[in-house]
Amino acid sequence: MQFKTSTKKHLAVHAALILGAVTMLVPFLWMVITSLKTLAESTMVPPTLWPETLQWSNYADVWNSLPFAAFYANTFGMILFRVIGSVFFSATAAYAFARIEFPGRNVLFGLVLVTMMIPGQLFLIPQYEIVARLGAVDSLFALVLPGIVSAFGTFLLRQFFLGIPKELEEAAVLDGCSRWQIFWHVMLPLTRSGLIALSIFTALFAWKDLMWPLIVNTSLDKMPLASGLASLQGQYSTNFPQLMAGSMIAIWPMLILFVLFQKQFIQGVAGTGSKN
Amino acid sequence: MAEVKLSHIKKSYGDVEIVKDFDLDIRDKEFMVFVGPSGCGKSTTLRMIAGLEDITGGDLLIGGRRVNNVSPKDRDIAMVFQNYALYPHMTVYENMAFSLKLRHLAKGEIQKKVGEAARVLQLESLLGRKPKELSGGQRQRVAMGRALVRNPSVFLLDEPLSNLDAKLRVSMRTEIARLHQRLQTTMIYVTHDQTEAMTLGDRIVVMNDGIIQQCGTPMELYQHPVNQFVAGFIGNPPMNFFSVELMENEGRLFASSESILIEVPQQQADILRAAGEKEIVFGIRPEAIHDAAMLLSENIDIAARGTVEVVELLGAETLLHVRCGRELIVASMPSGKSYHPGDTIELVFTTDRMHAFRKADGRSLLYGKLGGAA
Repeated sequence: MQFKTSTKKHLAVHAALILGAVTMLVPFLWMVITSLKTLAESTMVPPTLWPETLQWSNYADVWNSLPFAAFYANTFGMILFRVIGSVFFSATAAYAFARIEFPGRNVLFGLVLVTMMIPGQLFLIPQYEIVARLGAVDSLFALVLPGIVSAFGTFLLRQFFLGIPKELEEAAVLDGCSRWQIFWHVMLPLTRSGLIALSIFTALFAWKDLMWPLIVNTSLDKMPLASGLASLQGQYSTNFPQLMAGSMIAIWPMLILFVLFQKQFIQGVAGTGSKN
Repeated sequence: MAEVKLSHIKKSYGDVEIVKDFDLDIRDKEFMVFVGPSGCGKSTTLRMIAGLEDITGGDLLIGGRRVNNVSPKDRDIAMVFQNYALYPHMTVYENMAFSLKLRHLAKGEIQKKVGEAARVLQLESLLGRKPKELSGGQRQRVAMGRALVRNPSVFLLDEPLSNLDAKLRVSMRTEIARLHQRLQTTMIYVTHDQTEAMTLGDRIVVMNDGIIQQCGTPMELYQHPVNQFVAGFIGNPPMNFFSVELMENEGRLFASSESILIEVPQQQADILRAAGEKEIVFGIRPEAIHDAAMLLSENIDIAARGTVEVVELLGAETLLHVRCGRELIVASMPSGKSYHPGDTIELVFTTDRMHAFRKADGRSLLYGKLGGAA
């Protein structure tokens, strides 16, 4: 009887998981299929499930019509500097919030958390003002700047730092470490999975950041992939197969990153909720 | 030179005083043990010596130098933590070499020092392992090794055996004693386990409520406790205490309660008479209580009669929990005779080894007044 109940429960769980997986996969598969259709076929009603002839030329057309090399360079540059910046600033801030006693620590950390609760769109105008006053509009610097600090990263890494026994820090003090040496030699290596998770999140957010680059940069060769692809979307008409082919070209670096760091990615998500 | 002098040391968190007027001189090469119940301030005192806690008041001198405001790394001390505090991302070698690297020692010298410590602690085959690949005892040895390589003037050990199982604790205890004999370095050891304190310490400080209750050699504390707290804390099984009235009868002094009657020996009786107390707390250790049936002499005074409630066979001895009216007396009997719950028994006390405490504050009335007391 107990076995049957357990089997039923397993079946229900698997059915729910399969449904979730299908829901996530269908749009992706639809993108792949659409990228191989003709424009007419892509807008046909009722839609066709499989293209009559595979239009590989969509990939060549979109590659030639947009400066993908610049898109990639801008995207990788943006990701690289945002990851370095957010990891450095989040780790140092998180360590301070987790381990250093100073007046107003909890209030300041509360303010950091508040910024996570405000819709990001509200920051766009002040951020643009700052970048404009720095004279950095339409540049790689403009793409990177708002992303080099992260309230989420500070919160995430603080949880990791809080999970490290205080005695390790005290042992390091007795071993002769300065505050910076404790951070660098002891605390940071112990939050490795958190740092990787934050790097992945930052890279992911940077890669799919659409609005900020469109606001702050105007030249097509200063755009990252997501915003560059948006130029394929017209006001009155859109070449869906080319847009999807472009998306396919843009998506593979992230896919590889996810496959390589799947464990850390999941650990990072779990860590934000389960740790102290 | 590594005497440690704690002069009127105080520690407060806000209005709460954790350590009160701690005054102690620890001699060079001495093995000093701080013992007491949880929350008595022993670990806080150790952490103040280490520099991990600020000192609210008083002076701390290590090797004659006042170190109240000296950073931990410059105090020439090393500490072994209760949970070992080994760096999980470093190998055993890296853990032991870490402090030496920070001091910019030459690679060859680091290798030599780590190798030496590893040999002493039998860690040579484990140097390449990470802490998670070690057993509790091995981790403890690495923690000791990490302290050892620095060749400090003072070793601080904060309940280093608490996380080990009973058997390993005994063997590590011996290893620590051996290490102290070998190194001849001042060691300050914190524990809540009186057996560890008794077996390891040259001297023991018994603490309660942030106050030193008594400081002395293990036997001094055992034989001449200054108050009822020390008497109850030191010794396993603990001392028996009974509330008794003192009565004179034909020039002799008797201590009696509902179920106990003891004639107080002449020397102790004189002291108690002089103290003028009518009611006291009478203390006697389990090994000073005997089964009247096992004594050869016929001229014996039965102190109490009762019924055996629990029998604990420990091999070399048997512990009897004897119910005598409202009192429960624990007596240690040599093995040989078998006892059973429900047996009636007559108990005789070796009254020369009695203790007497003032009822009001628990202070010993005999301390310092009998020959041999500190």
